[in-house]
Amino acid sequence: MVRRLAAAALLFALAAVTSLALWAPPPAARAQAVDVYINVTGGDKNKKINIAVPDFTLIAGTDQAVPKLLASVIGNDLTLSAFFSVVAATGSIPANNPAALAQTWSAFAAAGAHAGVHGLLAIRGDRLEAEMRLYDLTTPEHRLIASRKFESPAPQSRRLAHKISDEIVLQFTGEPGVADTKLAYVVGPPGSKEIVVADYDGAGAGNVTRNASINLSPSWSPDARSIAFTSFMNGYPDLFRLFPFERQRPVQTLASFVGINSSPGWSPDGRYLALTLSKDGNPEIYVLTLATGVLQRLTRHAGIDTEPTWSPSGQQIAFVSDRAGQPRIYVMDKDGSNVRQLTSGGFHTQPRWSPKGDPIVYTQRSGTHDLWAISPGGSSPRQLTSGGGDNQSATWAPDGRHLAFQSNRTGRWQLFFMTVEGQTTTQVTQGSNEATSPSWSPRLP
Amino acid sequence: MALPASFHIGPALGRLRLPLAPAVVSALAHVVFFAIVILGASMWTDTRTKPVFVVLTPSVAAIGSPGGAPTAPRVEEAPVLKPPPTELPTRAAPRDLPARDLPSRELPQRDSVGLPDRSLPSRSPAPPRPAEKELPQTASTTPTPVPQTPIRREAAAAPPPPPLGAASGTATGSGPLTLSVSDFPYAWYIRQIQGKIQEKWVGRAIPGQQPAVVFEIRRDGRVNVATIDRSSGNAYYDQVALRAINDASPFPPLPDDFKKPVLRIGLQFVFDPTGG
Repeated sequence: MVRRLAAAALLFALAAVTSLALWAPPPAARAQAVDVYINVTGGDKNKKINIAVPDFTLIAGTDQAVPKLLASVIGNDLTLSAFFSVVAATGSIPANNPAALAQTWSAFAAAGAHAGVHGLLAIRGDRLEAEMRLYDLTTPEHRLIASRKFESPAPQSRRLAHKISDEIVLQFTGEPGVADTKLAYVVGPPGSKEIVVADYDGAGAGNVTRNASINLSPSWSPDARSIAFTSFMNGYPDLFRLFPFERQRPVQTLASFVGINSSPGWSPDGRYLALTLSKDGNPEIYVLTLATGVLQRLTRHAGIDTEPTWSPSGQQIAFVSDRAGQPRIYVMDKDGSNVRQLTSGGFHTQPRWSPKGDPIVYTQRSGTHDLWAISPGGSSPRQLTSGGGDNQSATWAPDGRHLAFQSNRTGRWQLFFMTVEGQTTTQVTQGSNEATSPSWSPRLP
Repeated sequence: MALPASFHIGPALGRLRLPLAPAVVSALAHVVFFAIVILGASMWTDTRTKPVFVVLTPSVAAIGSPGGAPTAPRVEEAPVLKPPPTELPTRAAPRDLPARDLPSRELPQRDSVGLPDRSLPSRSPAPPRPAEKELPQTASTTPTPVPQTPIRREAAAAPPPPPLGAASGTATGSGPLTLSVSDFPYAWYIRQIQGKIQEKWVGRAIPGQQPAVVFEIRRDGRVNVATIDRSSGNAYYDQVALRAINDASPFPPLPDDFKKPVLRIGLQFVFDPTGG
């Protein structure tokens, strides 16, 4: 009897505990507290952040050029990002001197800076170790926004700077910048066209093809490790893939059918390549499954169908077709069904679907060529470039904010940047050779 | 149904030889333990219910502070600088790089680059070795610069950066940006999210009652949940407000010094007759 009572008491106690736990108010109901209240009204758009980037402070090593280079590359990156306006600065902030740091920031704040970058650099043998400290200069405390460390081999100081720039953009916008990216494009010395890869800002250009043939339409794979392109290296326009960061890896043949093998367009997951083949008589769009080599035909029309570009969801493909007489932009599902005409009333080529989904940029010919943008739903198109010769062959940066394109406004084809809002244009390539057909890489792995 | 005189709790338990005293002690201990856990948890959540009010009048004014009224030089004042965060910041260097570029080596994290705390003496640089003296010895060979005049401002020489707004604020914080309680004293952060939402809010020219929204920003800047806190009474306006937050995300990562897992924001949309 006593034992039973004890057991009952035990059960009762456990039941009590359980029900107590159930009665406790659910955490969600209590989590309604708010950390901060904000009002949002209308306001000016596109306000830039004024940022000061003094030379890095050298705390180990002797090469005085690197701290200056880092600051100048970062300053240029931040300017190109179009989020920032860089406040001019020379000299560096002394190490371990909070008073001097505070004095410097006060002076920059008085000059209009909203933020300041204090960079620290140690050169140790063939390694660079850097620390980026980002300060808010809009309040008297000069609060530290973030502090991040970076490392790189000594010869890659520019890439180190690009990574720091991307981190600064991330801290202010929530998305990393696009400074640590590459451009692949075609350079045309007389008699041949070779593919060149350079930093996104045009620095460090180097050939990735050297076959003295005609190499065309480079297109970065979504993992930023390979470039699909069309080449006449075997006498016919075949489709290949090269691996620019793996010197020993041979070029891979993707398609060498009778006729044209061209216009590679990668699916966002990198598993498929949309391309144009004329093996059936006239150019049609196919999808190649890279792992298996299986080819699926998407278009069946007597007109020209070419230049496929995938939606970022991977569900749709935009392309050019002249089935209505003049070339226009069309959209279809990835299996070729549900074709609809997107643009009308003009001569439209080179569609490029934004990696953010909206808009699709294309080239319109009316006298000269200019870039236009249209939403995939087909709302009213918007002109992005005007004047200054021909502007065409756009490529999206991975942020969906910047475009690179080719223009002959200087007399010969060169590459330029702009933001999709189109406020400023910057020339990327210089030199006596023409540069065309840019492809902007994804963010490097 | 009448209760039986004694509990029959089944043959299995009935045959148990339970020691009475330890069982009671154990039961009580369980009760006490769970009570502490539950009460403790609810007290912990209670601390979160203290809201932080930040009253922001239109951001145009709030953002204009630095250029507005240059502060007097505050040289002698001990700066209120925070030391860099003590925990190792995450490295942004991605793994697995293309072969031609940074090789993907996960080096052990060294804290040597980070300047030590202010209390530590500054590192004296190693004298340059003879082999490194290819460049002519200039005055600035010593890597630790002298504190005097390291920076020359040349802001006037460059085209003046566009002002971020009307210069009605002051750098001393007495402008329209008013922080009532400074549990979240990250002015730049508030400005950034405000600016991003502003850019995406297509309802700014819709007259009528505007909704208030509550949403959470995770540490990585993504939005957790957005709900209507106070409806405008018009379902369309409410949806426009929610969409603005969704379209504006992701936001900047939460400030390093702000330790909570999420930042919870109450946001009041305000009709702007001039907005477009």
